Amino acid sequence: MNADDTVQELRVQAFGVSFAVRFNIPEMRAGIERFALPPGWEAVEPSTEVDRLFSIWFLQDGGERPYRVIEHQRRRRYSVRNQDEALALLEDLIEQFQAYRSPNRLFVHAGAVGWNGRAIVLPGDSFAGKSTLVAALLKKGAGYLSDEMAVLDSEGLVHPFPRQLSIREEGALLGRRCRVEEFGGVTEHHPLPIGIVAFLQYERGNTWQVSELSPGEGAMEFLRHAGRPSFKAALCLHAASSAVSHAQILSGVRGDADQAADRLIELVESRATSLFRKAV
Amino acid sequence: MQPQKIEEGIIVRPLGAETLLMHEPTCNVHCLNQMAYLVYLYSDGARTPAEIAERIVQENGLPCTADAVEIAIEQLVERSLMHCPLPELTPERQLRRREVLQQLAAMMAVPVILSLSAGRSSAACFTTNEHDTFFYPEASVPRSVNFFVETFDLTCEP
Repeated sequence: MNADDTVQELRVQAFGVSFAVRFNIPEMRAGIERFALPPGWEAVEPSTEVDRLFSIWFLQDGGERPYRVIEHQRRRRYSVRNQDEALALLEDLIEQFQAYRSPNRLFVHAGAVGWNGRAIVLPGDSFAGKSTLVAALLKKGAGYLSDEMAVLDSEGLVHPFPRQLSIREEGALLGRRCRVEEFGGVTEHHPLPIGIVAFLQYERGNTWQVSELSPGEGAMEFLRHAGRPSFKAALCLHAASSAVSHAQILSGVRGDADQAADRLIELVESRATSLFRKAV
Repeated sequence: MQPQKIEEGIIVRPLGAETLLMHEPTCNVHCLNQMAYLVYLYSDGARTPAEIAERIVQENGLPCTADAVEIAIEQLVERSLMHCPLPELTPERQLRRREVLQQLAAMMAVPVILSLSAGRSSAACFTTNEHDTFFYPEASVPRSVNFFVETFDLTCEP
């Protein structure tokens, strides 16, 4: 790895938020573009004033943790061991900032897929098994929206946020990056209304045990998994309530991802049928 | 006792039979069932709990008593959604309250409020340089990586 004296910079925007990433290793550009920048990013003019500046520095004499990831405005400097960790950290930091600052989107910590024009949204904390369940749904033909962040507009539609899936091996902190095609899936390209929201916790050896929540309870749980800065409180409330208003909302535990995926597909299909009957 | 609802900074969003209230400056969210919301709605600073109960019965056809309204008021005051001086909770009042709740439960008319305060959510808080507080799911605070973090005073130096 060659640390270059020349600092390079990427200046981009996505979801109405702009930021710059500076780095001193030319080879790192491809990794930043591929793994750390959010889906749908676009380059902006070098003269554009950005909302936030991040840096990744490699230090030749940095010891065991030679990589520095810096959030300049927050005056935070993280030291990590290798490039993969640096990129994963940068991705997290950018995602957090984007969730905070994006003026017209609510970011909910959730996996999401599309099935017959409806989104199945799976909110949950890290290690709840979101990515594994998303992968199981993709194998059954679902369209990919996201494995980490469900991005909602004020009407409650889920927009694609198709970063590469991060599948963790048991006990590992850092997930293995997987492309959606590895699971035979395709990426959704249009926003979808929500058919099912399922707050599921994986428990090894357990079976599908869920109960239904009311729309109000569902919206509250949704907001529990979302950043909700005060400057966009109204957007958060409208997006969360619109998102759940026509959805079935489930909460509980699941066991095997494959079986849970079957149950979810069955439910979203029966819901679509009953809505169609109501409409007729 | 003439309760007065707090409206300043409160965003109201009906959702089926429930109503969501968000306090904009703190982003605290409350989900009120129909009974709790009607008490909030009719608490205009002029009516007594008995008058509010009467209005709920007359205009909405729901079973309601002054005791039920007082229970809702206690919850609303506790959550900073209402101004109202509350009498001290003596052992007699506690007992009475328990009896009332049992009666209301039998009538399916218990006022219920679920609340999500930013500090109590599954969120971690960190402060941005804009002096705003941002609550974000704890799991998304970088924990996928084993890192060492420090703050620095100089700009831009590694």
